[in-house]
Amino acid sequence: MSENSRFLNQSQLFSRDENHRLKILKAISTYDDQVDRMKSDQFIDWQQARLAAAKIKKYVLNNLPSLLEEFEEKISSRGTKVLWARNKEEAQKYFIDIATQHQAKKVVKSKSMTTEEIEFNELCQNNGIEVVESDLGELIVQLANEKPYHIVTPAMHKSKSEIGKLFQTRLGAPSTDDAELLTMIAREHLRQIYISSDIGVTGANFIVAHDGALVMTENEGNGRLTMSCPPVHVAFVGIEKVIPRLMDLSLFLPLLATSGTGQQITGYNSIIRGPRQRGEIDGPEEMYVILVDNGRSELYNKDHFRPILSCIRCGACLNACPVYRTIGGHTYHTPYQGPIGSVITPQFRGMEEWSHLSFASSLCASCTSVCPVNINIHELLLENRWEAHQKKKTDFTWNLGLKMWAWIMSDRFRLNIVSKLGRHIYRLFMPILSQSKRKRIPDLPSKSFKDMWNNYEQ
Amino acid sequence: MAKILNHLGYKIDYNNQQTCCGQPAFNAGHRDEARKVASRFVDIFNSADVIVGPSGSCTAMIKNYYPILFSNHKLENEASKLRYKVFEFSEFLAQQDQIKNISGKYSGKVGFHNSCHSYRELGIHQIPLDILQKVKGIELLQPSGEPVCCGFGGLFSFKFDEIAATMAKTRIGMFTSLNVETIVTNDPGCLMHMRQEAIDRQIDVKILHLTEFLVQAIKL
Amino acid sequence: MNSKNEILNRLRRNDTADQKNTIAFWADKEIFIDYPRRSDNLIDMFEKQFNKSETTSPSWPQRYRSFYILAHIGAEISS
Repeated sequence: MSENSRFLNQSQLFSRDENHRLKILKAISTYDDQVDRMKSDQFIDWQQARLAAAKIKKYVLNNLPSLLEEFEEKISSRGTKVLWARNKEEAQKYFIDIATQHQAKKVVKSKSMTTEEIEFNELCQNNGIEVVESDLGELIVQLANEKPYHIVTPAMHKSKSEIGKLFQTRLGAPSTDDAELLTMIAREHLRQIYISSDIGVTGANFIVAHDGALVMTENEGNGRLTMSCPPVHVAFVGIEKVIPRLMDLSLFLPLLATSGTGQQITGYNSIIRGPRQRGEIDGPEEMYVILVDNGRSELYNKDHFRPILSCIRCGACLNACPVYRTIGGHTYHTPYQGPIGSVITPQFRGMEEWSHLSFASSLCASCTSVCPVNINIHELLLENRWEAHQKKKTDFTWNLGLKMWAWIMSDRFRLNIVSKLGRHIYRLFMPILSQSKRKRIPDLPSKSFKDMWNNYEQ
Repeated sequence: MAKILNHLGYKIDYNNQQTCCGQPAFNAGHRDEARKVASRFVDIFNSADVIVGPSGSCTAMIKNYYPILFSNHKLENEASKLRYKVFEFSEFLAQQDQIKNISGKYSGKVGFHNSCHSYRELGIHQIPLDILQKVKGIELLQPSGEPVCCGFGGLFSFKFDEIAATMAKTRIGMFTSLNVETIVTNDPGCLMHMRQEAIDRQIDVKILHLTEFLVQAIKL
Repeated sequence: MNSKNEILNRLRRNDTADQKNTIAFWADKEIFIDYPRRSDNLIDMFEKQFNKSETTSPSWPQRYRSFYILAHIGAEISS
C-alpha cells in the first residue's frame, strides 16, 4: 500500500474516532495551559525571545561548516571520537563497528528522534543486540511494540490503566494505574539495565561549538544514567543541532522547556564535555559522537528551506496543529510528525512517497505562530507543494482539474457559463475530487454576485 | 458588504469581469496556473485606489503571497502596489475609523469565528469583535484561547474531507458548548464549510458572514 | 575523513559565512522577567529558579530535585 493510501485510510479512521480525539485534546489542553502560564511567568516578551533565538540559529546556519569543525576539534581534544555520517546507512555502520569492537550485546538508550530516524532499534534487533529504552514514554511504546506517538511525549496516547496492564504483562509487575507507582516500576526495571549494559546510546538537544560539548535536557534523569553508567557512550546528533556558545543555553534551555513541556526548565540539564578524564572516578571510558547528515546538507542548500534546520525539536507545532490533534501521531507513519515532519519528511525521504504530508494541512499557520525559533513552517509546506507539482508528483485528476479551473477563471464569459451550470458540473466532479467514501457535496448559492449586483441600486 | 459600505457612505465600483485572486491553485502547488489567474486579477484591479473584499484568505493571498508568486515577473511592481490597496472588510472599517458608525440590533448569543488567514496572515485580532460589540443587544461569547481552524483550507477540505469535517465539527462544538446560537465569520470559505457541516450533522446553529450579520442587524 | 569532507563541502557550496565573527547578544532585561540570566555558568544561569519562592509549597521530591540539580551541575562544571 502506498504511504498516501495508508495515510488517507488512517486519517479517516482517526477522524471518526471521537474517543481518541478527546484523549489527545485532554493531554494538549493541559500542555496549552502550562505553556501559556510559563510564557507570562518567565518572559517579559516571548516574541523578543523567539526573535533572539531565531537570530542565533540564523548565525549558526550561516556558519555551520566552521562551527561543526570547531565542535569536533574542541570535543576531540578531551578524548571523544567524532564520526561523520553522510546518511542512515553510514550512521548504522559506524555503530555496528563500535558495537563489534566492544563486543556489545546489550544497549540502553535514552530518547532520541535521530535514532528513530536512522532506525536504530531495528538495526540492533537485526544484529542480535538487545536494546532497552530508558525514557519512560519510549519504554512504554517499546513494550507495546508501537512507534512513538509524538516527538516529545511518545506515549501521550496511552492511559494510566493501559500502561498498568502493559507493565503487568510485559514486566510481571503488580497491577496498578497509579502514576507514581507506575514510574517506580519502570525505575526498578531500568536501574539494573543501566549498570549491565555495554553501550549507552543518546541523542543531544544541542551541541556547543565553542566549548565542544553535548547538551541534554530531560525530566527523568534517564539520559544522564544512560550516558554515564555503561562503559561506552554513543551519541547520534543531527548536524544542525549546533549552538555557538555555552551561554546561549541561558536562552535556549528556557525556550525549549517552555515550548516543549510548559516548564521553566526541565529537571535535569547536562553539559557533557567528554568521557571519563584522568583522575575522575566515574563516567564512560569511551565516548563517540556520530554527526548525522542524512539529507540535512541537501536541504541546507535549497532556497527557502534552510530555516527549517533551526528546529529545536520542541514539539510545539505538533500540539498546535488542528490536523495533528484530529489524526494523531501514528497516522504520519514517520519519526517526525506534525507540521515539522510534514516539511522535512518529503524532503528527507522523497517527494514520490511522502508529498501527501505537505498537502494534509489547512495552512492555518498555527505552527508558525508557536514556533520558538520563528520558522515559517506553513510557508514551507507551500514550497513543498510547489516542488511536488514541479516534479510531477501531484495527482493526474488534480492537475487536470486545476488546469481547467485556471482556464475557466481566465475569462469572465467562461466563468459566467460555468456559474450558471455550476451546480450540475460541481456535483459531477465532487465524487472524483473527494477521495473518501463520504459524499459531501456542499450547496452553491442560487444567484451569483454579478447577477445580484445587476439588480442592485447603490 | 456592498450594502454596508453604501450605508456608511462609500461608492463602490464592481468590475464584473473579475474572476479570482488565484489562491486555490497557489495553495495546491500549481504556481503557473495561479499566476495566470492572478495576472488577470492584477490587470483588472490595477486602476483601483482601494480594494475591499469580504475574505481574509483572498486579501492575505494578495498581501502576503503575491510577492512570492510574482517575484522576477514582469508584473512584479504592479502586483506589489496592490498589497497596499487591498483590505479585508473589517480591516477596512477599522482603517477608515468607521467602527464607531456601526449600529444595529440583534438579540441573541453570538460567537465570532476569526478565519486563520485573517487572524494569522493579516493580524486581524480584535477588530471584528469591536465591530460586533457595536450591535445592541448582542451577547458575544468567545471560546477561550487562540482561534482554531475550521478545516476548510481551500482544497484541503476536498482532498482530506474527513479530517476537514471533524475539524469543522470540533470548531462548531467550541461555540455550541457556550450555547452560541449564531456563529459569525469573516471568510466565505469558513462559512460554506461550517454551514455544510452543521447541515450534515444536524447541528442547530446559524452561521452567517459578518456582512450578512450586519445587514440583518442594521436592517439594510 | 572522506565523509566529513563530503558533508562539509556540501555545506560550503553556497558560501554564506558571516563576515563578522561575533553574534549579537540579546538583552536579558528585554526578554526575561528575572534577569540577569545570561551566563556560561549553569549555576548562575538558573540561580533564579533555585531561589524563587514557589506559589505552591513544593513537595519533598521537588525540593530534593532542585538541590540535586545544583549538586550535579557543580560536578559537571568541574570536569
